[in-house]
Amino acid sequence: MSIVPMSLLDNVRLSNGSEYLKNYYSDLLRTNRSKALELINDQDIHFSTAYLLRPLLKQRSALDELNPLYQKAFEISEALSGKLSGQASLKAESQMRSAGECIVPALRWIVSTAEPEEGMDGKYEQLIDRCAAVLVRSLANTAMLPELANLIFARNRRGALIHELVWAFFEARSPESLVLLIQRLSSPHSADVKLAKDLLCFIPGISGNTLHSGSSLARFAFYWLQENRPFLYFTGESLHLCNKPMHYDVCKSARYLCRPVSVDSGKPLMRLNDDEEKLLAAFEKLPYNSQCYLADFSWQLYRRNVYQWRTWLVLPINEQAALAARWMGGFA
Amino acid sequence: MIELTSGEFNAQSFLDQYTSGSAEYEMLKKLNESTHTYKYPDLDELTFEIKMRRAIINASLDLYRARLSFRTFQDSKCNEDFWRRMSNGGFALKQGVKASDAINDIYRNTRQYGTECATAIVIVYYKAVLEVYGASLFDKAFTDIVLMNWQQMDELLSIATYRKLPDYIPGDCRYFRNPDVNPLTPEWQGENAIDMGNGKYYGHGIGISDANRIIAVLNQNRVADSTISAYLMDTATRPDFGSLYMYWKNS
Repeated sequence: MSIVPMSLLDNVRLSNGSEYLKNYYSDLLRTNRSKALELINDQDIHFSTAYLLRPLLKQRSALDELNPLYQKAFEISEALSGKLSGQASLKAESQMRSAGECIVPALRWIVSTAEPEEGMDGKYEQLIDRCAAVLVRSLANTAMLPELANLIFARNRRGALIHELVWAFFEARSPESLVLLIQRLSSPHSADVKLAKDLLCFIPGISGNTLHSGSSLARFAFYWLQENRPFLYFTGESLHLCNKPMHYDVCKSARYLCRPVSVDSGKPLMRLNDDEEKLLAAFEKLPYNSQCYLADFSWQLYRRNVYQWRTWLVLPINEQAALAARWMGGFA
Repeated sequence: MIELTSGEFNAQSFLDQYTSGSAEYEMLKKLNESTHTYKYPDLDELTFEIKMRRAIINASLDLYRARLSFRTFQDSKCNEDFWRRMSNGGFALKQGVKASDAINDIYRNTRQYGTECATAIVIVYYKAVLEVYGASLFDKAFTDIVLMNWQQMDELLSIATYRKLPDYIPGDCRYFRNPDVNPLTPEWQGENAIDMGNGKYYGHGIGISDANRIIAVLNQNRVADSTISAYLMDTATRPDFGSLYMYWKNS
């Protein structure tokens, strides 16, 4: 949610519109080429503005006079624009992957300054979606997730398509990045709050909650994330599958055994010993509600007193449940 | 097994109403032979659900035969006489247009339409309800349709996705996920497909085929050298047959 600085040309576009910008820049290129190049090479210029002026720069053979970062960004946008299917898309993706780190700054510039997209066509949005997906999936870059989150929420406020951006965001498989969504629960924009609630619907009590203020919901969500982080795994659900995908889930058996899981598979990071395997088998046979209860109790006890937890865990599972019920004052 | 609140359920005599090998027969057999108990208030509601599921299968078959083209949201198209194309690639029913006419137009002037797989499934659901309700009741029930993936669905349909179900029944919408999809073609990240019965599925853009072929098509759209296959997820998306029944019954 940081403020991105803007160049003079961005201001011209935002104040007077895309057509005015193009006419203004076309005149400037003709009458004062060096000034025109100075303005387009401004370090604060947004990709969205530069993208609009690219045809003019090409027409006037000025593309080679752009700084290396912007030249690279235009090369990438050329390679990733338009219809990409079959072998062409495979080739383009392989090229991006093998280019590796040297294209990351250009891709990040594109994604972080893609907005405002207003007045742009679907092809432009598709290009931005592809750049974000390449950064996350092909180059495994998670450092740009804050910029990607900004883009998702900005686009959502306009009612534009966010499916592929959301998909890319979650494909990073980074539970830490959920903080970027939790922050939006206390946004002053109602559209941000609604989207954040929908995307975080795997956190119990968040989706559709109108009783609590944004800041108290955010506090609750932060706490929940801290509590469950070691046991969270990516489910692979997306907006293509359903309206409110559960992007993450908590592995209850892992919470019960207090063993962290792989975010990719939901499987324990460390091999379980024979005793743990037996406990797991007994746990899996319990009804869902009992599993939730025991998992919660076990994790709480583990953090409060690991020695007590060890003593408790060696008991038969029905005795564990009885003790848990007594200590927590509920029913197992 | 099937249980009726209104009284005893004679599974065999109910099954005998349907031809062995039909989708309806398969639905009932699955429900009845399940270890899970499916509770219905009465036989009418069960019959309605079977009818709706059959209509979903028919609407899928008709859409497949009409050759609706596959297009991404950025590239989607519709007949502007009936629908307004929205900036997110979805279609909103035009004011003054009857919902039944607009849905039927997709099946009549199919060449003027193109969209993604999830929207195709949403079209299938509306068409199925139209067939069961009839035009007059359908127009009364749906005055503000938006066809856009799973978003902005009418409350009456109450589409929901269920996970880890004991049974999957013909008429369910299943999802084939492609975890290693080429990120430049995210439209191949998965395929929503209607269970047509008999091990066949309808997936928009792929056609009617078995699960293995759908998986093979998705696998063709993975990143180079991938070893992670597409697979059928343990989920099913369904409209709320109970709500649809109540509206139909009380109208």
